[in-house]
Amino acid sequence: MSDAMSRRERVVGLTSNLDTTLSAWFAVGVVLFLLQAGAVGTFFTGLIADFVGILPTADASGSLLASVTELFESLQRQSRSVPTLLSRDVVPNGGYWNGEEWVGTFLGLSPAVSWAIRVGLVYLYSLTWVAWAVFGYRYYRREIRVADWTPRDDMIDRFLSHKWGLFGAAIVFFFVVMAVFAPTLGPTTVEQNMRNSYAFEISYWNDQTQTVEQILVGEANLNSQSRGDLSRVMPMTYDEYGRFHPFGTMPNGRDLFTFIAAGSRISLVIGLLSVGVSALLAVSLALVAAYYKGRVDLGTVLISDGVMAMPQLLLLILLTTVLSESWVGNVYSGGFVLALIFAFTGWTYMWRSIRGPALQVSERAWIDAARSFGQRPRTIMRKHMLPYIIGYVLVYGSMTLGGAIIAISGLSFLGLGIAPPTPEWGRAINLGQDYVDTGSWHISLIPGALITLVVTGFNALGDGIRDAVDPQSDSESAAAGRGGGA
Amino acid sequence: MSSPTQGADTGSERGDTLLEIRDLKTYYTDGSLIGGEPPVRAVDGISLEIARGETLGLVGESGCGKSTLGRTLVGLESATDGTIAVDGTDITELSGSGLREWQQRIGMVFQDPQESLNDRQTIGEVINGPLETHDWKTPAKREERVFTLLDQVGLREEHFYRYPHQFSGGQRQRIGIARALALEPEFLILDEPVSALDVSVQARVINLLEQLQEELGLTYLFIAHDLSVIRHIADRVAVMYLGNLMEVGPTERVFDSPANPYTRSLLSAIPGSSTPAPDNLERITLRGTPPNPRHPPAGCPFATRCPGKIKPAEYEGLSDEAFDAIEAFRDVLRDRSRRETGLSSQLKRRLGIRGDGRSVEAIVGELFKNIDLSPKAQDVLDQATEAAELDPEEALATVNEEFNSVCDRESPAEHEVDETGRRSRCIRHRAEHASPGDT
Amino acid sequence: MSRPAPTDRRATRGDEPLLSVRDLRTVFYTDKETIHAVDGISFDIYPGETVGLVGESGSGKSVTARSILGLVDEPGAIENGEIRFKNTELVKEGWDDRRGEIAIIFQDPSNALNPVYTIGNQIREALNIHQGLTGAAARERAIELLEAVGIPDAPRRVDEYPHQFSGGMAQRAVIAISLACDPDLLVCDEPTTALDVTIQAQILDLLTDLQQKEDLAILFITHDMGVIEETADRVNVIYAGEIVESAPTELLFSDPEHPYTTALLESIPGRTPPDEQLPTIEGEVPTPNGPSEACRFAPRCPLAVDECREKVPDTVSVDDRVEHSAACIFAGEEYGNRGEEL
Repeated sequence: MSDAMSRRERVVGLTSNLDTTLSAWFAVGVVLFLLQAGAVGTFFTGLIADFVGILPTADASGSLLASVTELFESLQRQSRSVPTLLSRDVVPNGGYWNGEEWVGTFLGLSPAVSWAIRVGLVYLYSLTWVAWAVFGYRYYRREIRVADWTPRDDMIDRFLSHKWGLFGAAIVFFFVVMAVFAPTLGPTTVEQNMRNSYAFEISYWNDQTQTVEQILVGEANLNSQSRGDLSRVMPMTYDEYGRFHPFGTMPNGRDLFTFIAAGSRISLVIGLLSVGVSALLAVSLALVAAYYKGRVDLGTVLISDGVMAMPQLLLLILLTTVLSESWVGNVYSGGFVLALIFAFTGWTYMWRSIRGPALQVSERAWIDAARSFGQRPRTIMRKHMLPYIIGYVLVYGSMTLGGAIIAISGLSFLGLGIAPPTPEWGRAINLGQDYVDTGSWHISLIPGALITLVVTGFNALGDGIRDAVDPQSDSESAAAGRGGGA
Repeated sequence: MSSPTQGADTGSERGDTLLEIRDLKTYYTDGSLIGGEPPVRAVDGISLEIARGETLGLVGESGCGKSTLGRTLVGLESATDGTIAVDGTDITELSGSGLREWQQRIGMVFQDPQESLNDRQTIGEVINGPLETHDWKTPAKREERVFTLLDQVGLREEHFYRYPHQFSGGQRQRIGIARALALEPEFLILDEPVSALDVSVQARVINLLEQLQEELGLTYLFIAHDLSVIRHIADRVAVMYLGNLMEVGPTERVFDSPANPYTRSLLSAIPGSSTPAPDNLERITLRGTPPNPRHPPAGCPFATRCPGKIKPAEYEGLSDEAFDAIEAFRDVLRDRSRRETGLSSQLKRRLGIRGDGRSVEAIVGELFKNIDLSPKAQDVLDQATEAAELDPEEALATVNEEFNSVCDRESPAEHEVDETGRRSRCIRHRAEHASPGDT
Repeated sequence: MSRPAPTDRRATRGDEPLLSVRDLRTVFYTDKETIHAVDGISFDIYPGETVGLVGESGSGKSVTARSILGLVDEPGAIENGEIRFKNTELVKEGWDDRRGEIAIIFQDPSNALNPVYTIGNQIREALNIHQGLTGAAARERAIELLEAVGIPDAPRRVDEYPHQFSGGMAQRAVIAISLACDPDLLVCDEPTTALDVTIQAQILDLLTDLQQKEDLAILFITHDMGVIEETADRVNVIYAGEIVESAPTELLFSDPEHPYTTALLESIPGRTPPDEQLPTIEGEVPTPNGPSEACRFAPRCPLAVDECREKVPDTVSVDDRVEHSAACIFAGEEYGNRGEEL
C-alpha cells in the first residue's frame, strides 16, 4: 500500500509547488470581480427586490414582504454607490458642446469616441474573463489534474478545431456580453430615453442662438425621429441635440442601439429560462423513461404527444392575454410567463431528441454492471447515463435558444408577448417596417440582421458541440468540412 | 513453463452447497399494454446446485437462456417461478436492502469489455463504484482497496487515473474482474468473460481467473459457448438448450462420454484437432435452428432437431432416411404456420388463390425422392401436402398426429446416468429405448 | 474428423494461380500516425483451393480481404503491390472488369443484407447485373440458388425480408447472393464468427459442398484455429500486417516453424490438460505504425535474440516441396529443436 501513499504524497507535493501560480490566478479572478462587484450587487439585489415586490401579497402595507422589498431596495442603493469600472459614470458619453469643447464627456472627447471607449472597455473586460478561464482550464489540465487524458479532452479539442462552431461561439459571446452589459453599452439609458423621457432634461448647443439650452428628452426625441427620407437620424451620426446614435434612431426618435442592447437582455433571459426549464423536464423524463422503459416510457410518450398536439401559438396568445392583468403576467414585462409557456410546450422537442441517446446508453452493459452490484437507480441515472446525455442537451439547448429568440421577436412583431415600452427586437422591426423602402431603412434592417446573425451563431455553436460530442464525427472527417458550408 | 494448479477437483470432493436452484423459470413479457405475444421462456424450469469453491461451466448456444440464468442469480432479472436458496433464504423473493446485501456476496463479469465499463469514468472510479454504493469503510480505505485490486488483477497503480479508452480488450476485462471482486464476494458469475478476446489474451485472462479462485477461494459460474474453454476451467458442466438443462455432471465425464444427444451434437460440431470432444464421436450436423422460445415444443425441447429422436411405435420399421424426410417436412410446415405472412399472401390465402403452385409439392417431391413409405403414411403425407398451401397449421396437425413420437409428447425427466451423479434429460435413458450413444 | 483431411492440391495441379498477391501494402493515414495495416503480403490462390488467413484482431487480415476486393476506403489506400487475378493486374487496371468474379462474405450477415428489400430482390439484382437475367427467369434462378445453399422452402422464403431469417439462414442467403455473380473466388471474412457452433458446422459443410460443386477457390479469413484447420488446404499466419508463416494446413498444425504460430496454437485451451496453466504470449499485438525495422514479434518472442531486434527477418523456405516458409531467423533445421523447448 506504500505505493498508493507515495502516489498521493506526490500529488500533494505537486500542488504545493503550484501554489504561486494558482494563487496568482485566483487573485486575478478576484480583482476582475471586484472591478464590477457593484454592478453585480445592483443587479441581483434589484432582481430580488423586483420579484418580491411583484408578489401579490406585497401590496398589503406593513407586511413582511414589503419590509423585505424595502431591505433589498436599500441594499441595491448601497451597491449602486460602490464604484465600478465599467459604468456610465466612469466613462460618460452624455455631454454637450458649449461652443468650444465637449462638456461632461469622458476626458472631453466627443460622445462618439467616449461611447466607443466604453464599449471597447466592456469587451476588453469580458475577453479578460475568457482568457482567465481558458488559462485556468489549460493549467488545470496540464498541471493539476492527475489523469493525463480524459474523454472530455478529445471533445474540447475537437470543438476547438471546428471553425464553424468557433464562429458560433464568438457570435454568442458578443451577444451574451451585450445582454449582460446592456445598461452600460447603450449611449443612453432605457429609463432616460424611453420610459420616463419627460422626466429628464439634457443640455445641448443651439446653433442658431449659439448658446447652451435645456430640453426635455421626450421633446428632443420628437425632433430626432427617423420617418422616411427627409427626417431621419442614420447610424453613426449625431442628432441636432448632440446625441450620438450608433444605430440611428427609431420612428419615435428613441435611440435604436439602447433599445437593441436592452432587448438582447430580455431575449437572453427568456431564452435561457425557457431552455433551462425545458431541459430540466426533458432530461429527467428521458432518464427515467430510458431506465425503466416499458410502460413508463409509453407514459412519457403519451404525455409528450399530448403536449405536442397543443397549438403553441394559440396557447401563447391566449395565456398572455388572460394573464396580462395578473401578477405573474407582469413579471419581467410578461417575459416570465412567456418563458414558462415556451418551456412547457417546448420540452417535448428536446425530449424527443435526447430520448434516443438515453435509450441507447441504457442498453450499455455498464448499466447492468452497476445494477448488479446494487447501485440505486438515481445514482445510475446521474453517474452512468447523464454524462452521455448532457452533450446532446447542450446541442439542442443551443439550437432551441436561437429558436426562442426568433419566437419572442416574432411575437413582439405581432404586438404580443413583451409589453411595451420594454425594448424587444421584434418590436423594432415592426416599428420600422413602414420605412423599409425609404431612407429610414435602418430601423428594421439592423435588428433583423442581428436576429439572423445571433440565431445562426447559436445554431453554429450547437453544430460545433454536436460534432465534438458525437463520436461519429470523429471518423467522418467530412463533417468538419460540411460545417463551413452550412 | 506451466505449473499444475489445484482446484480441478471433481464431484466427489466438492464442498458444501452454496446455492440451490429449484425449478427456476424466468420469462420475458413485452411491455405492451394490450394482448401481446406469449412470453419468451428464457429459463424454463431449471434445477441445479452450485457447491462452494467449484467452477460450474454453463454452456449452450446463443438464446438458450444461459445468460438469463446468470442475470437472475444477481437480481438483474426477476424470476417468474421457482426458488434460488442461499443459506435458507430464497433470493428470488428479495428486494431493497435484502437484495443489496446479496449483491455484496456476488459479483458479475460481463462479456463485452468495450461495453461493460463506463468510458467517462476513470478506472479508479469504475472499481470504486461497488465500494461507494455499499458505503464500504472510509473513502481513504476504499482508495487503498482499489489499488490492491488493481494489483491483484495484474494492472499497475498509474492505471487508476486512466480511462477505459486507453486500455486493450484484455486489460478492460481485468478491470471488469477487479470491479466484480471489489466487495470481496464469494461467488462470481462470469458471463462469457473471454469470448470477445483474442486467443492469446483469452489464455491470460483464464489463467488470472484460475489464480484468483485459488487465492480467494471463489466459486464461479462460468457461462460460455466455447466448449474448449469450459473443458479447461470448469469442474462441472451444465448444458442448456432452449431454457432447459439437458445434461449436468463432472466436466471430464460429460466431455469424454456425453450422455445427451444434444451434448453429443454440440461437442461433435467443434472444428479442429484441438477439440475437447472424444475421438470416437462422429460429426453430427444438426438440421435447422433452435425453436422460438416463445413457442417451445410440447415434449422434449430438443425434439425438433434431435438426431436420436425415437420413431413412433407404429413406424418402428421406417427407414432412417424416411424418418428424417418426415421430420424435415414437419420443420417446413412448422415454419410456415408460425411465420407472420405478408398482407398480400394473407389476402391470397383468404381468397383461396394459390401463391406459387409448385411450392409444397415440389418440396415434398424433393424431400421424399427415392423414399418408399407405407400406403398409410403416404396417404397422410398427400393429405398434408394438399392442405399445406392454404392451411399449414392443419397440415402440421395432420402430420403430427400420424407421426407422433414419444419425444413430441412427453417432456423427458432427469436421469442419473452414472455414479458421479451426472444427470441427463432424454427419453432414451428409459430402459425400453436404446441409449442415445447407440443410435 | 468426419471431413476428409485436406490434401495439398498444389502438388497435383499444374495450373497458374487464380489470384496472386505480391508485396501488397495497404496503409491508413490518420491524424496522428500512418498505420501499415497490410505490410508487404504475398500469397497465391489456385483454382479450387481453400487458402486460410489466420491472425488475431488488428493483424490486418480483414484489410487484406478488402484490398483484394478493391474496397479499401478513405483514409486507407493500397500503396504498393500487385494483385493479379486471371491475368488482370487489379491494382493498376482497376476492379471494374472483374467485378462479380470475386465475391465476399462478411462476418455479420445482418449487416450485409438490406433490410428493406426481400432476399429474392437482392439476389435478382445481383443476377441482373452480372448475368443479365430478369423477370421470371431471375426469380427461378434465385430460388435455385437459395436451395443450393440449403434454405428449406426456398420458393416461399425468396419473398421474405432479412429480419425473418435467423443468423445461420441469413448467412446462407448472403452466400446465395455472392453465388449469383458466379464467382471464381470467394473471400470469406470471418463468415462463422457470429454464429453458434452447430450453425457454424452447417455453414462450413455448405462451403465445402459448394466448393466441390462449383470449383470455387476460397480465401478463408478467421481467428479460429479450429475452423481454419478444417477448411483450409494451406494456411497463412498473419501478424501485425505481415505473413509470418505459410504452410499446408496439416504441416502447420503438426510442425509449426514460427514461434508465433507455435505460441498461438498452444494458447488454445483444448490443447492443454485442464489442471495446467495455459501457455500465454506476453504483451499485446503491436500497431504497425511505422515501416518494419525488425521482427515485429521479437518483443513477445521467447526465442528472440539481438539479431531479431536489429533486422527484418527474411522469409525462409523450410520445405520447398510443400511450399512451407516462415519469416524467422530460426526457421529451418535447427528451429525444430527449439520448438520442443517452448
